[in-house]
Amino acid sequence: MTSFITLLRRELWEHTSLKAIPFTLLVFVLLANLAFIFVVGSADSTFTISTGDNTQNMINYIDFFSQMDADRQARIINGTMITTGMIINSILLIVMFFYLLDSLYGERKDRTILFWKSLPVSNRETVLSKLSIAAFIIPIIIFITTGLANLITLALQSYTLLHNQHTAELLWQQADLTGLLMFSIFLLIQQTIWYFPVMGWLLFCSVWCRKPPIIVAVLIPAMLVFIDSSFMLGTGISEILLERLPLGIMSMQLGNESSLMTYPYSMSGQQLPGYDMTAGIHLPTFEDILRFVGNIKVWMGIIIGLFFTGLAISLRRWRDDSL
Amino acid sequence: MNCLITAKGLTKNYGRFRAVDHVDFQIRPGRVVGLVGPNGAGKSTTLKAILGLIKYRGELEVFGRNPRIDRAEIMHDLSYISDVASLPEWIRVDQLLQLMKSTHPSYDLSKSLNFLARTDVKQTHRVKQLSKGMKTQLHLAIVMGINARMLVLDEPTLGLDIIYRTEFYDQLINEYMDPQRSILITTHQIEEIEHILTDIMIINKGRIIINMPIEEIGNHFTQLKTSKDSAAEARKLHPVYEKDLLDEAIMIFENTDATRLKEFGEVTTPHLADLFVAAVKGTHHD
Repeated sequence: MTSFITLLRRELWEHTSLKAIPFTLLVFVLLANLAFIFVVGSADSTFTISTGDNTQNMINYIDFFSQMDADRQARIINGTMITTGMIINSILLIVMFFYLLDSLYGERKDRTILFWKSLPVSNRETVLSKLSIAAFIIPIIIFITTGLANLITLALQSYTLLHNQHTAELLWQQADLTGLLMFSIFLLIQQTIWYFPVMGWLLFCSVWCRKPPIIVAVLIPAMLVFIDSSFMLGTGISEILLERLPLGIMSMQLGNESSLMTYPYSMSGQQLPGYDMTAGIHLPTFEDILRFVGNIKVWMGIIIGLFFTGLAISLRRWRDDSL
Repeated sequence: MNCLITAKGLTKNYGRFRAVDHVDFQIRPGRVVGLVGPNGAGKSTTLKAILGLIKYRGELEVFGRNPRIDRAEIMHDLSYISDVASLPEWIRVDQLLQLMKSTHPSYDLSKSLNFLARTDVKQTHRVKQLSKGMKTQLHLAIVMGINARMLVLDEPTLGLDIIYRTEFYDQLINEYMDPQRSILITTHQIEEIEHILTDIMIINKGRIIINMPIEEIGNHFTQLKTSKDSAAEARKLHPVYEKDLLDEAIMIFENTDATRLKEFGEVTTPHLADLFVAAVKGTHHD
């Protein structure tokens, strides 16, 4: 176990982007909030913001916001926090994609595989440590980064309210922190399960390819979709693959039958993006969870993910420093 | 005595190219074995088979285990330094030591630290900041910390200057070697390891053509330094290798009566470097 934890730490030592990118995102959130404070604080502010019905001067907007009814305030606050979380989530999913593609290819490219294989660490442990980074550590990083980003936003916007002679209490009262916490946890669990076959596929490509694996990892699914759609074969492969593409997690929120989440902040119809601000956060019910767990697509994905992970472990046995 | 490594009919093909061809050898405890051969002779392929990095045909046992199946278990007792800078460039020295401590059950951190204390390598250094010589010292420091029964070195001093090369082998013998441990070294610079070897294996075109303890070389091979005038007569005894110098000739004979050779000039045991050239370029048959 100690050895496995060290393998996880070794991944974090090597892939500094797993720390640097969340940190950069937090700095960006901080700067965006400071810019907002600066704009609101300037006496001759001419910046405006659309509130749907009309356009407001920023200073007036603070007054306008404080006079809104509590439900509308909650929708704006929670909607902002969810949007922040979704942006962080999307960026770190891209980081995960490239991490997995490089994880078993990079060690052959720089020939460090000779050193890694000189350690008494099995191929299974090595591959599972990389999978664990994608399946557990990155979701934890997303969760912490989102939480910190939202706390930064709440803290600095409290200052904006206080500075403009309003109480900050309304911000903290209307922010559904517990709901957002639970929402993030459910979403990240669902996302990890949903993307598990993609993770397995990327690991397999990373260990299998002798050229940069991104070509094969993207080209093969793209070709399958192209052939299936162009010749109208109706195999269902296109649907299965498109559901798992990066936008798949978004499509899950479009009333997809595989979706665990039934929260109303979903993209409705063809509007991208467009959160439904008409209600608060709805966490999945026990029935939703049962429906998700009982979905054949979820289990097929897990089996496919395990299959590709097993192949990656098996293939790494015969990989040396040659590409 | 139990062998640490046993190979019987070890064969490896890369497509149609046969890199290793029905190789047999054994390595016993307490031996320092040199596996030497020209480029492409099959040295690194043989080592990769021992390390469980490649598929092969034939029988190969390392500590009684099959490296194709039990690589991770074998690595508890086997250390390896490769010919390339295989240490990850991004890692810090302290992280590397921590990694070794956590993953290697028989690793003694204090031994590595003691070794490093005598070098210019600092724990805060990243590998990419180290010179090639310092990287080799760091790798050696790690090896010193592993209580391994077998050390495999693949061209470990390639690219190092003479000071580091000499120091490397001195430290290896003085601080690593004991009667229970063995070392298998591949190198081109055979003259540098000649004095530390107990056994020599010369490999060419995938086949081992000489495999014997150093002390037996004199029983099998004889080097004759003779004048140009006597060379023609000596040549009738079928030397396996001949080298012309300015006024004399050097010949190496295999299994030839040394007293007969003395009639033609000075008779000695050949140096390993000369034997290597004789084996690879000459008419020697295994």
